[in-house]
Amino acid sequence: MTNRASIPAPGEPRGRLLAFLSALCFFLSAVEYMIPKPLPFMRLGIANLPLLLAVDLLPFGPFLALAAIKVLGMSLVTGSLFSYVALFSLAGTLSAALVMYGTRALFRSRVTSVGISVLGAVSSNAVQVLLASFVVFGRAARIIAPVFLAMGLATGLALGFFAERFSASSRWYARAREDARG
Amino acid sequence: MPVDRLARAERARRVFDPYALAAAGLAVAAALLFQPRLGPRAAILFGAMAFSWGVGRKVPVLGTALVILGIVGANLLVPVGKVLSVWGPIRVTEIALLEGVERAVTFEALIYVSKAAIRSDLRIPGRAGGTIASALRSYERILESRIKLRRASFLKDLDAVLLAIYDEGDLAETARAASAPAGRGKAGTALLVLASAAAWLPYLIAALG
Amino acid sequence: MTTATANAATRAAAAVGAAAENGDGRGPAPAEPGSGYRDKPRRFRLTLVDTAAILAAVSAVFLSSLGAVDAAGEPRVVISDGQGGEWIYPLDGDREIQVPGPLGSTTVHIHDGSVAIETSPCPNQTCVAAGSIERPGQWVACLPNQVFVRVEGGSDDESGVDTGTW
Repeated sequence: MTNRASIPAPGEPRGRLLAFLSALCFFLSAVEYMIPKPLPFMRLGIANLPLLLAVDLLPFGPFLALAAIKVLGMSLVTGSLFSYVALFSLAGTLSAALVMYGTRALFRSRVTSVGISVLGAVSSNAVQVLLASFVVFGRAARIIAPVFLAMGLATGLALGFFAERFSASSRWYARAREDARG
Repeated sequence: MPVDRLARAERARRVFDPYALAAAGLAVAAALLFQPRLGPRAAILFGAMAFSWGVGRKVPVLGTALVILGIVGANLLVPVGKVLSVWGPIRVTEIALLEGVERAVTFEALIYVSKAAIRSDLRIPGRAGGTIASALRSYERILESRIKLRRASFLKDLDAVLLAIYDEGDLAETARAASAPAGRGKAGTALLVLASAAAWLPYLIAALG
Repeated sequence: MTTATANAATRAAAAVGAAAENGDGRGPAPAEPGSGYRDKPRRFRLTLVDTAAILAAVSAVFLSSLGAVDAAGEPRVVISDGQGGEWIYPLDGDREIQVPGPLGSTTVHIHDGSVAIETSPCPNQTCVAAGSIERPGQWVACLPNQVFVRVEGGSDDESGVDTGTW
């Protein structure tokens, strides 16, 4: 998944952008970790915000690399690499990434970050609940599913609106856009 | 307290080789997944918690207990087996309870095995590793900046912080070389081999006995 | 289409069109580098696709809650003995349960969506002859050995979860 072409060299502007976006993912993951949640092992998805921004900043290869680095990096920092948590993280982040990039590719300017984010967040949580039904919840997952999907919808909406507002007026985003063009 | 934890982490850094540690973690995780019985799994959980503490990791006992309760509770939602007791609308049934406990123990055990085995100075080869390392450095700097965000100008402050750190880029890239040399301790590796073998013992006994 | 919706549609189209004109056509254009932070961002509008996505997500939540209610009210096999002991099992799946009674052990077999008493240490064996049951409300019992087997579910649910059957 991480062949040489997917990850730009660290010296290049795109490489710098990729590393910085990864750092943002790590930071937001840490923030998410602090927020008390009713069921601690399901991710809120705040850490997908850099990924949402990256939909318009990175081509597909580096975009996927960002998703992989987010999962791998956090697994290393929190030391959860061998656990089911990392599995949930991988499945959730990957499905969110694919759905978000696909949505943009499919609808171009007819969709905003809100639609992209909502679809990404809900599919991420759906995949995680499905996995959880095999690993931790069993049949009871069907009973718990609505709660997680609703959470995904809420987070997706919030992130989408924030991303739109932020990217419209952020100088950093403007600089990132420049660097992304190569 | 934190000082002791850092001291433990330092000592672990000297005693254990990060790659041997990771390999042992993988071996123990595999043993865990191959082990059908609850007793040995619980033993691995407690062993991993102790080991994590020993290498200086945070061991949030309360958080872990809550997660275990949560998973067990969720499993009890669908009753299966002999009814053991009735707590309001919930019927605690034997098979559901056992499955819940088993899943919860396995879940947390894997987390602690991971925590004990994965060290942040584990070097990943190639560009991915380089990018991750660079990202982790920026991450630390973001944490250090102790965001001075205020409600009114939230987005503006945030933007300023981001821009500042982004511009710094990798000035510090060359400045900081690899961290303190990790121990290639033979004693540490021997201990790890022992621990991995111990984790596999119950399975082997059952399989061969 | 009424005038109101026609106007709304035109406005939406204009907004999307305006957004599309910004160079790469991907929504609000970023600020010029060095121009300073803009406190008043360009007008943002939800598009049709956005709304469709949100509706899709809402229906996913709705459907899953229907599924949850469904799962909570699924038919179950409830086995009781004379002493207040109780066993609960889902009706689907394949299980053999040994229920102890004063005469010995009764075997209850759940298979293929139905449940039956397979063997029982009673003299007349009427319970075994009664065959299998599968619908909520049905029951079969071995009186001599004090084993009662019934199927619960739907509005018969006693576990306290509120399930409405349509």
